[in-house]
Amino acid sequence: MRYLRIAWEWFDARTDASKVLGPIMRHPVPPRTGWMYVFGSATLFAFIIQVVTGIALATAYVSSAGQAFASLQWITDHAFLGHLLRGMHYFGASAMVLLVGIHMIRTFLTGSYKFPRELNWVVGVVLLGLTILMGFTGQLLRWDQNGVWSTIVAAEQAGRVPVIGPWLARLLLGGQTVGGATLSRFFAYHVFFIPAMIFAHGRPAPCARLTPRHLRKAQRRPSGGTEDLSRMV
Amino acid sequence: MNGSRENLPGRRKMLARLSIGLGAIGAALVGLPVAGFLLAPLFETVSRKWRNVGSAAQFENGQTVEVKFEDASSVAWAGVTAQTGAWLRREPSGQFTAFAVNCTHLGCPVRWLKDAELFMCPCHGGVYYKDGTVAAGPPPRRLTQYPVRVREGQVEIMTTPTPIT
Repeated sequence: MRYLRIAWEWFDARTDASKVLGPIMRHPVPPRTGWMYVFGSATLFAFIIQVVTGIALATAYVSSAGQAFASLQWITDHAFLGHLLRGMHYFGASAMVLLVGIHMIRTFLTGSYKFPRELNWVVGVVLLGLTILMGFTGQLLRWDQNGVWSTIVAAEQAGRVPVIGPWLARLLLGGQTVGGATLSRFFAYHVFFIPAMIFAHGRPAPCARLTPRHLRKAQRRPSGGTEDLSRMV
Repeated sequence: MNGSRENLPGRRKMLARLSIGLGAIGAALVGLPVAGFLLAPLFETVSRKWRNVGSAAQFENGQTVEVKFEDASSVAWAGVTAQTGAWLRREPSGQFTAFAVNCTHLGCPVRWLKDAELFMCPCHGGVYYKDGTVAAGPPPRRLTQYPVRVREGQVEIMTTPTPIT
């Protein structure tokens, strides 16, 4: 234990990790929040699952229109624990969309979008859109009948945006038709562009401003990080 | 020392502006090729090509069949997506009409129901008559038609971009 502490102090002195993580882990939780409090952290947890399983899947997935489906079949049927990994990524995506929705509904109903967190609400709406886009682009990567035709439906819908619609449709397809360039584009959107935007926007919401009475109660309860972690488990 | 910009010594101010200028030039040198590469599909022109879909004699009058042909912009790694398709109808008069397989509502593939002589879209219930006009459902307009010709006894369809309606 002593050596662990020494290692941590060595690391922390060079990275200031505790200054970044400390306020997040130790922030006081208002009383009577219960399960309503954890959906933001649960969404983050689902996102981490998606990132980890997605990186693992990307080591075997071939983002080529001619081979993508076959590579997924190999992952599912032959790769060690491949079916489990795909299942985690698949259900994790649904879970993330669901949790984002619940988190936003909770935020709206409890008025948590008010001062000082108005901008967090705006960022949350952007993140909701990015999460939906992740789900959509990921669905296309299967490159089965559903994926291919969803691509065309997406292009048709993009094509109805006033003025720039036809350009958007061509950018989505990577050309004038669904072909070799299309899947590569969607792979780049799913793996690089949209995650980069999510990382750029993502940060925990600032803590609520507690009254002295609530703060005294909160200090007798587990900290936010402890509460989140225990409920995730 | 006062740190406000107005009071910066002239040389420091000049160096600050030079750094910003050089940074902008560097960003442009990297950013412009990247942007050009990503936006290239907007400016590429794909020449349309006539594709042979079979001998005219193999298509019966009054019949509608699915035909497949190679897309104009296919690349080596396109796999099955190098192929595209159309519904080819031979009128009783012998004339040919080629319909896009895409529903004009949201682009889903329409199916030809031989007995009913209707095209039906599985996504939202769009229905078209055999001449491609809308019979029912949400499609805003008739099925897109591809140019088709008969040359030296062979039916040829011209490759066409995916119809964005």
